[in-house]
Amino acid sequence: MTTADGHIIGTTQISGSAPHNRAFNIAMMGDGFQAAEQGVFDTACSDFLTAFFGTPPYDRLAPAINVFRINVASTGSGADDPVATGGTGASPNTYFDSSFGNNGIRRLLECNDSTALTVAAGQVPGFTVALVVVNSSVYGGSGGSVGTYSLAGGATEIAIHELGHTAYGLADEYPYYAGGNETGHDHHPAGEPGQPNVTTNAVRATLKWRWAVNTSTTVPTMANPDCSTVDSRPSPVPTGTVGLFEGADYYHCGAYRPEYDCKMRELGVPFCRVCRQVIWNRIDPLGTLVARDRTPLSVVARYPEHLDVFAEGSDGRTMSDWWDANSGWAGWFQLSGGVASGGGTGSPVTAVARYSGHLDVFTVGTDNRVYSAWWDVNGGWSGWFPLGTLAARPGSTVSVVARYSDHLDVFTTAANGAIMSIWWDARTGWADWFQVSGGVAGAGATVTAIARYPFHLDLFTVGTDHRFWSCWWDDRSGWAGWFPLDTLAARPDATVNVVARYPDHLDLFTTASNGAVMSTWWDARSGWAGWFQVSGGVASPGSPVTAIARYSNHLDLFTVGTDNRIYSTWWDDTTGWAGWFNVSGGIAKAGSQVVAISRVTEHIDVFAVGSDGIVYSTWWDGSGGWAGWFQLGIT
Amino acid sequence: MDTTSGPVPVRSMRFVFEYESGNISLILQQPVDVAVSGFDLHPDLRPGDYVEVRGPDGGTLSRVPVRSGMAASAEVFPEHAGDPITRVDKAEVRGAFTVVAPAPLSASHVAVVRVGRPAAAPRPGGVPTPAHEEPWATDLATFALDAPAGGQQP
Ligand SMILES: [Zn+2]
Repeated sequence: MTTADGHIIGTTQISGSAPHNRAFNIAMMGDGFQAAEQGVFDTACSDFLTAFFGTPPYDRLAPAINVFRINVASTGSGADDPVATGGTGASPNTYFDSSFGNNGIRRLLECNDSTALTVAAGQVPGFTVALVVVNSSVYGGSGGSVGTYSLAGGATEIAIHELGHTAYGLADEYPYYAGGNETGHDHHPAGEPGQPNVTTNAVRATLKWRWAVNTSTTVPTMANPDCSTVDSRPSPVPTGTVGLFEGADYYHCGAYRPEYDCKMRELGVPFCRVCRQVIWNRIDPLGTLVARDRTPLSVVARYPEHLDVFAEGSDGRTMSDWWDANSGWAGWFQLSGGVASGGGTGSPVTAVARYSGHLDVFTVGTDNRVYSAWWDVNGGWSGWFPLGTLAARPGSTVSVVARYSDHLDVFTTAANGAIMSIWWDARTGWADWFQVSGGVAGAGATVTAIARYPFHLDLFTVGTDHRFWSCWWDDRSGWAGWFPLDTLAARPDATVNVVARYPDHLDLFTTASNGAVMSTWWDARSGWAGWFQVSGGVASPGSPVTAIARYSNHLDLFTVGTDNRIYSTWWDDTTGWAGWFNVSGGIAKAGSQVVAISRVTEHIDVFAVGSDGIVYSTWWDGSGGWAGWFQLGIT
Repeated sequence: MDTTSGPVPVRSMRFVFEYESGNISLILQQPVDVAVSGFDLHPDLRPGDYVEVRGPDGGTLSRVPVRSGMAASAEVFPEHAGDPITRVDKAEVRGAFTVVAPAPLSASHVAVVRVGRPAAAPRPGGVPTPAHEEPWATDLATFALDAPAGGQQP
């Protein structure tokens, strides 16, 4: 039997309207359907659509999913069904050589994977997953790189389970290999499985799905008292409770699954919360992000060919997207299931890269506690964990500075406005929160920090008197007292942006009470200068001013103007301040923030929330000037 | 917004591999207009099989996981609801798998790579110190890429 046993009739898109290059594309092929039987295959495909889109989370992901029906006529009808495994002895010539009775088991129905993948690639070049429907009413199916199933009732469940493996790398959650009475499957081997829905780690604080576990849920939720067999007791908790249930990944003990039941454990039941999230995380990044209007974005370049961008969805989800010179933009994903406080303009996700293979991120959660998470090249994302018990001001910004690679200094405002700090050191871990020199920030003010030297910190904020205040810390002398920066009246929600073009110099940018874009500087030799307005600029109410220094004698500024257009200007020590200009026609949300980064000196990447609420980006390059804005998502 | 131009898409390639008794062959390499998401572009190394696209110097340009690869067992599904799904060892380990990976024009090779799990489990405690046990990686097979069509393009 070869592929000469029939011919390809053609391909029809039967569901979806997403762009083919940014969609989850399912290619369905029929085997053992003769030319006159194509209507049966068409009906089977319709039945699959009904079952598939009736299975959460696919019910909410349809806009990103396309389904294609590839009609293939086979010479013969049905599939091989050997007598030796209880079959009929049928042996038709079919296009994909499907056969029951593999490995001595009749219902193990397999096709020729190579043929199926090659046909799918020819008919639907951008296919994500391939399914083969076999023209037989005998129950059967199999997984692997091609999901195969028959027309028997309930066999579509095989395809949906198998997609869990093929498309998302989900593990099997069943706690046995051959049904439970097998030997050699009592204890899971040591080591953490790579899949997202099984674990050998029973510690709540480091559990990979800890974001989904309620604090009132016991961990482990269910422990197997007899590892020689499967724990067959009913669940001690209500259906849908996420916890830690022993018995998963083919072992009776030592491996855990997130819920008592899941489609990766048993056909006919829903996917568990963790698997639903994984499926969501695969398909959702194919779109763009509608962001919280005024929550600041942040961006980090761990190395020049890589960017990590952090934002918040309009629903508060902590989101990230990254760009790599070799693979482009990766698409938005929810960072460890986090949801940030919506107080004020919303607590942003702030980030720092202590070294190129590591990120530390911070935000204030919906319970107004300060949370952190990290990403490491050797382990991926951690869960969010709280930093002490500080009650932060709702929506407060958490500022972070890494004075050196084994140390973090973190700053934010407490519920009563007190300016608080906490630090982490690789040798000692996290310290406790303390108030910085008795400082209290005005309502809506943020604390800005910069390290000009590894042994020196400068802080800036707006006080309750709406004046700008500063404070510094030095390794030798500790924290100094707060002192005012002249008498300029700040916009109450003003943020101070600070840049050190070189270690003995600071440039500050902010907004005055009338919205004027103001600057001052400090130099070790001359001390503080007076405030001045930058090129007559006035910012949209709420919008901060962003500054970057590409060279020690050059500054670039960005803000949103009173007409909500995105503006930039620059300063060069030979020519002074330029006039403000609109960046590539960009219009932002009123009161939003523009973030910029220069990962290489002749290049600037800029990010903003557009007037439609979607996150956009553009860039400037020394050779080509400004590019147009594009919706940030996947490329 | 004036959205006249966007980022230049990165070229992607589809690869189809066949495997039989430990031998892997590349049976299809085809440029394809597909955006590969961060879900597949693991920047971190977790245990499993991967396909790596490499440059002339052997450096990794992109890496995507093989999610349903060379399994030595097959899944057997129950006909009756509530009965267990089981697995059986395959009589012969052979089949095919496919991935789509970003492949810049500088790409010259593609490799199938196996990453093993580090010996230790994650450390207990909420201290944000990553485990430093490095996973190990082994090349299972390496193939040269065909020169891209119109390879003279900038
Ligand atoms: Zn399975």
